[in-house]
Amino acid sequence: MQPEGELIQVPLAAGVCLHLHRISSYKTVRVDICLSERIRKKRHSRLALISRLLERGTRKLPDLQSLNRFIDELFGAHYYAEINRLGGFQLIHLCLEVIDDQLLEDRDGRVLAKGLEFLRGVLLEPAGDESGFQREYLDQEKRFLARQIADSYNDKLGYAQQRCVEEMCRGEPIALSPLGDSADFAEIEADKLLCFHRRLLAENRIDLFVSGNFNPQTIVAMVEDFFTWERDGYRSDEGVEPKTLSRLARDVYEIQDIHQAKMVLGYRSGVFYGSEDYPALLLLNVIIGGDGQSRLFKHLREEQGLCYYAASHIEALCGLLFIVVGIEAESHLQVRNFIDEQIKSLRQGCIERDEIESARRLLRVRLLGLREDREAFFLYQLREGFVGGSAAPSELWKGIEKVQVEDLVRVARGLVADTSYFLHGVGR
Amino acid sequence: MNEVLDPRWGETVFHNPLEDGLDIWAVLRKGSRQKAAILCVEYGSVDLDLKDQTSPRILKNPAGTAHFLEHRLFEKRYGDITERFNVLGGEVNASTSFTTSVFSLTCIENFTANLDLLFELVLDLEISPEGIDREREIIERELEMGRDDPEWIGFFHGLRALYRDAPLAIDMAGTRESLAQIDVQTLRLCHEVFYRPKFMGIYLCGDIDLEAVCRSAESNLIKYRRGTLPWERVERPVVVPDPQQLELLELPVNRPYSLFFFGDREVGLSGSALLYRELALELALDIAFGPASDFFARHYDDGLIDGDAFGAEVYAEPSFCFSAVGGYTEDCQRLTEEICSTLKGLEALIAEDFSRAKRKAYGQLVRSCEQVEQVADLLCSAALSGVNPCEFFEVYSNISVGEILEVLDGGLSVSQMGAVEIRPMVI
Repeated sequence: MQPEGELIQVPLAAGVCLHLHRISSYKTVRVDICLSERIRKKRHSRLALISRLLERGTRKLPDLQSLNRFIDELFGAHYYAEINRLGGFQLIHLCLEVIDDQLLEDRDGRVLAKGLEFLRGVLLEPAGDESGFQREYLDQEKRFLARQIADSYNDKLGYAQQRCVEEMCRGEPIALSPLGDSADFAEIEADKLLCFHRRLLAENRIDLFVSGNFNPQTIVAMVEDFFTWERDGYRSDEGVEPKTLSRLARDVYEIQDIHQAKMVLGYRSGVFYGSEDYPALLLLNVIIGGDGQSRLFKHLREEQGLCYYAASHIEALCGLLFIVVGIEAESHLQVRNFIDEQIKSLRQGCIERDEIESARRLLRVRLLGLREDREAFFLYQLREGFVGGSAAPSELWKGIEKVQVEDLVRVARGLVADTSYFLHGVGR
Repeated sequence: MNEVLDPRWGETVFHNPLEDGLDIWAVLRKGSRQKAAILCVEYGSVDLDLKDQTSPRILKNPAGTAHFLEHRLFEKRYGDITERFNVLGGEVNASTSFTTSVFSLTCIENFTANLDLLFELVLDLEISPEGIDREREIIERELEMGRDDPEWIGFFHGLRALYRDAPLAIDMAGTRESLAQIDVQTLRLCHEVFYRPKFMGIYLCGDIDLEAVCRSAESNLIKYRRGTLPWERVERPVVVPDPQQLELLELPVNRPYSLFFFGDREVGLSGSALLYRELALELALDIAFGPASDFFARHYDDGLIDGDAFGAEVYAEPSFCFSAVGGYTEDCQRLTEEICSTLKGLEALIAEDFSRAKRKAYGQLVRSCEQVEQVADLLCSAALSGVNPCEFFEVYSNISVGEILEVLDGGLSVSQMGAVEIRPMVI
């Protein structure tokens, strides 16, 4: 039997990998399928539309209602398709969760088998015919996706972060939205889009994650039963992000009729996921704004009462660090100076031992507990795959254990301030 | 200690009610690395009034007091208690709802020591005027953030359309004006009145030593023993809907947003009756507007609604019950008409679509308790409804068409509707 919590990886074909994760307390089996590639202009709009069409129906379940009814009838299964990003990668993610067959009174339910057959239909025979996706559906989804892209305006914090990345990384993959660009939609046709989809299936990296309480051999046999892979042109997208030149630091201001201003500061760290200094960057991020003991939270929020939301985060695959705060517009300079001083003090090595140990303990709990959080664990392993690795979170923890003050100082000195983005009200 | 094996759920549920009223509920997960604990105090944003035990005097506290207190408890004489959790490898979080203050802990090691600290967090109040001034500023920032969130604002305006001036229709964090009235005395008094073992429960899941947990709980209750007080909590009044017209707002959004609130007339239930009612409303809404419904298919096709930005939810507690339906739309007026006409014809759809909706709900229940935090949540919400958690599985297996038909008139009637409409601001 597979040891609890360990991951088994089974290559199914060139660039197609099955990941099996057994946790004995699970009462459902979850299947995640990811088709990924480095995000590229024009292609990104097609991938985004395909992700929506994979929720619209299959040839056997030709419309939204029959698809949704089928899933509900499958003992309350759950299915969705989404478009997502992980650093500079764009992914079409299909997720199916079913109750474990062993727990159903109806032992002949074959729920997992039916679920896998359904996923096969979604991928290989989506609604439409041999020649193309269903035209009407494509037109509708173009309309909905265009709305969804425009809706980002309504979530002000998310909007500010997205705008900062756009301004900072113009011309780089990370600046492209995984939702695509609605200006591309007009020229996308149902027949060509289906050919494109088939090429994705033949050429792109594909990862299948299955988690639950199962015998791995059974799952491998089932997956091999339902999926055959015709892989004629797989090209690996692995490896480090393309290098970018840093430019002069820029300040960008935007005005909307809002109550609270949002400030997003973007830095280039030059340290990428998988590199030797990555554990130090991760630790540095926690010290700056990763939790309730971080400098941002402690000083800006708890001591000075300048904000409610204050955090930092990293785009691990792209080597970027962002600081995000919601403040009153009037305190803009005060907050900005405070953050500059903090970065300066980190560069000079003013880092308390307690600060480091506290950040280290937090990462320990988060990394070692990760395997029991399905979504986070699967994204973790996917990111590992994108840099050609397969290490468990406990390996990253070993790296974090070794980080010394001088490593943190080196990484802090490597931080290059790039874009400062400030979204604020009209001042009534 | 009581112990019940639920064959449907496949888990054993432990229950240990301590003498002074604190309830301990647990599900053991051998081999699980993560451990979760929730300490829940039945004190929320609607609990504003205190009564004198000897006279008819009522003391009204400012809106947002429960939330303020939840924030303030983290500050101790020695500093922020989060740091001590961190030393023990624990992560804590807290939130305030209409009716609860919830403190949740997750950790891998040192579970009992972390739990002791959770008691200290909740029961040991250290408070200074300076600390309160700072906290007020932070909460003002929190309120401002909410004012820029169309869905958050829409939710409370919709509640106002349904319940008018009831405390239920005020942001849990209060208002700028109410925050200004909260002082050391308010917080001390409310802490003493509400943070008592009889209003508290602990909900646990993971590979845990239950004996040690019970010993820790008992000794902490002795350590933080409460004296008697002239004031006591006022029983929560049952909130009956009093719908008025539509609330209209203009905000910086890109397209219209509409939410419809349906107040339940049959309010005041608890125990499994409440669970049945909640589930019946959920199934009715799923049959009417869910992704498998005719309504959804029709209006997804004609563009009135779109998938992710449209949905329905039920909020059922012993003192109030309402359902909310809506989302972003191209046409608020047409959406109103379509929702109302669907509800009027809903009765005819129930029997035919019942088994699908029931299967879906059961699947959702099973899926919602995979992680230890989720199990602790389920134990907590069961206790707040006044049931054993196993009853969830029983109710979800046994519900019938009749129960759904019964809730339509009282719970989803157009005459009990309050609505909010947000229009894009013209710049």
